Amino acid sequence: MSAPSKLLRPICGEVASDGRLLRADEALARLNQRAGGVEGGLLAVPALASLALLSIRLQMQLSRAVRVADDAENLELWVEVQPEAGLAKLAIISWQILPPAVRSNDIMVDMSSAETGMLRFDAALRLLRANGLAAQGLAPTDFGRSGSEVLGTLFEDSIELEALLEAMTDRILAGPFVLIRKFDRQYMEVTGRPLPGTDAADSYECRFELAAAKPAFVTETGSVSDQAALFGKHLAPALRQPLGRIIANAETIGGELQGPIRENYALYARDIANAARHLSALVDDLGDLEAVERADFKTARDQIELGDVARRVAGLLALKAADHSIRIHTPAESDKVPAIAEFRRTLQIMLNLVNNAIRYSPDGTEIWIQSETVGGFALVSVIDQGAGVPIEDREKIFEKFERLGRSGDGGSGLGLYISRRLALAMGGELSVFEAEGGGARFTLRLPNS
Amino acid sequence: MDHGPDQNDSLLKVGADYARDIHALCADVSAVIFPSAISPPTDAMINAASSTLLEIIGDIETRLSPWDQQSPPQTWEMLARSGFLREAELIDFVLARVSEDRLSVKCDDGMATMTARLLDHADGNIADTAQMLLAAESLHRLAAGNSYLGMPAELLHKTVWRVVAALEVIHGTRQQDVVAAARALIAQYAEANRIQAAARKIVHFMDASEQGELLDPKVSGLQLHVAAISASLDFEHDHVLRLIDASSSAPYAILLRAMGVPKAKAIDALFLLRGEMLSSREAGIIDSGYDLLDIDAAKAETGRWTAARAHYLAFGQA
Repeated sequence: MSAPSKLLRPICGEVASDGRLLRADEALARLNQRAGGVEGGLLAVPALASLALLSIRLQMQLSRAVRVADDAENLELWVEVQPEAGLAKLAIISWQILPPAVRSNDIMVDMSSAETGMLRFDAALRLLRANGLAAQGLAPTDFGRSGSEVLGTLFEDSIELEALLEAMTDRILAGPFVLIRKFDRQYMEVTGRPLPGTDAADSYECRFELAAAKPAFVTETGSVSDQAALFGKHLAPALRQPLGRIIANAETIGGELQGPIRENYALYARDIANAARHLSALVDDLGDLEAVERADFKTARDQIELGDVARRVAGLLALKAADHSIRIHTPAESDKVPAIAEFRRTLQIMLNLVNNAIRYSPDGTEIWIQSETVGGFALVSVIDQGAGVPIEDREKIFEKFERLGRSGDGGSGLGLYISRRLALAMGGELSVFEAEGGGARFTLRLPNS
Repeated sequence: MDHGPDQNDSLLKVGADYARDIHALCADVSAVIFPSAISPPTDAMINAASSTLLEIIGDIETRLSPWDQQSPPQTWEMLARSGFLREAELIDFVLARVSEDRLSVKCDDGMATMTARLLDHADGNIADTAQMLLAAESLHRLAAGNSYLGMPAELLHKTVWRVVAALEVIHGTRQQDVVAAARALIAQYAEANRIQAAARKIVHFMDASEQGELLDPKVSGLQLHVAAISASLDFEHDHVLRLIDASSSAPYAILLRAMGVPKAKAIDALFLLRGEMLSSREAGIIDSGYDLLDIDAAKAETGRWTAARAHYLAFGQA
């Protein structure tokens, strides 16, 4: 706030109990006139009028800061009001012009269109704001990330990108450069500039515009899967949060945590929670599907022990199995079956297999997870006592969206497809056989060296 | 609790590490599901609010009907039964006093030091108002029987006439001397003598260069600090007090961010005023998220709070 104008003497006025401005010093009269008031008419500055009338109604002396704004100025006045018979005497003892209420992003208003945009980074060069064109392709989790990482994720590597990153680090003006956005192969013209900040270092801002032509260094690269890789990175995170909220709220209502409700309403709420859980699983599956179908999809090569993975899976699904009175047998801790595969992906495959076994087995049955080393491979099998998979369906079951005619059980028809793709990506295989006694035996084979 | 800067850093690091633990997750989820049930007033708060209210009604009654002092005040039961004592603005005022009492013990020294310094200020308005502020503060603390003088004009007016009406009902007749005493009380009231008004007036008259000190409650004291926030963000003084003393530290952190207070200063202020209430989770979130919070977004958020408060206080009014 700026310093108030020191008034040598108060600016005074008198307001009648019907709101008319009876008398006013020149500055107050001008202010009233600017607000549309006329001499002898109602006081047209609402904040002053209401203060005067309040003082008359209460018959109390008031002393307050009053903010008045019109198209010319923002003012803060310090006003003291003394009620007298049928009128209020106003004394404005300070007349302060407030700085215009400019928000730090006002200069960017024209930048948030479909063809322009901006990314702003804080003093530590972490992404702070994004709008317009520049916000496309960003996930909520990108905010707060290092600016160079974000730009590196959004745009293809090039000399121009390196120059921009260097300019950001040095907090100097940069550009215009033409960069290629990875997800839509869009050419964008970028300029960077430092923004003076209150912290030790300046923040930085990059402005983007659609480029009219592609830069000289550009060659046509990128695959269809690159262009389509939108779901897992951008849409899935955006969908998970509201779905999580729906599940949490529906469970609260269904669980009657805030008191009893009608039984059918509680059942509806549980249905909502189940449907949202299904959607959430589908979102996860679609994200995975997109990932495993990319030509450049790779997995890590961790040294893992399949018995350990099996026991973790059994632990994670113990409650679900108990709901169906199903018992899960896991390999003994002494039986070590090492494998070379990505731990997280192996866990994902095993969770899918054991989940399916629980889902499609009758209540009260048993599931066995067995691991063994055969030649150069590590094998882990999930064996159930369900109906099994007919021989003619044993390949079909691994196809995308294949449900073998089932519906309404919460499956998406993607789990086994994704699991097999993951197994293949890790140099292994996933197959199904008939178990002894008629159930299904799914075997995951992974390299062990 | 006294934490030096090094200790603060250590605490914040610990907090940051635990910011994503399961309790935090549960608290966040519950805050979404049960936003209003997370922080019910504690017994201590309810007791403090009741005794403040009792004191105010008792003081007004004594002033209007000095020959008929009773404890509890004779109008208490009738005012309670009529619902007046549960009116939003009265409860809000009383809860702000409870917050004020809790917070002011943490930075009393600053208040005394800075205000005393302002007595010699070159600007006569500031010097005079500083004197008024000190007097109002002394009255608030020491002078028994005048608790009602801290009320806003509208609320005092309403309360006084409610007490007059209740006395009429109790005695079965209009007592002219009570009415005259009520008029006298109201006529003698001057809003400028309230702590809130005096603190706000000082902030109004201060140069921008002097206002930096007001961001540090340890230096400025509670009331001038609150008045600075009130002036900067156009909040009511009591609203700021209640936000600082809220069950979560987030509102105060957002207020400070909206004013553009740098993180180090904000953390000092948070530790001073909310040290014993600051959870490791909150410390972690503030440590990692304060700078990421956009100032405009913080301003937009605080703007919604003022609208929500106006809506709350206007509830049930035509």
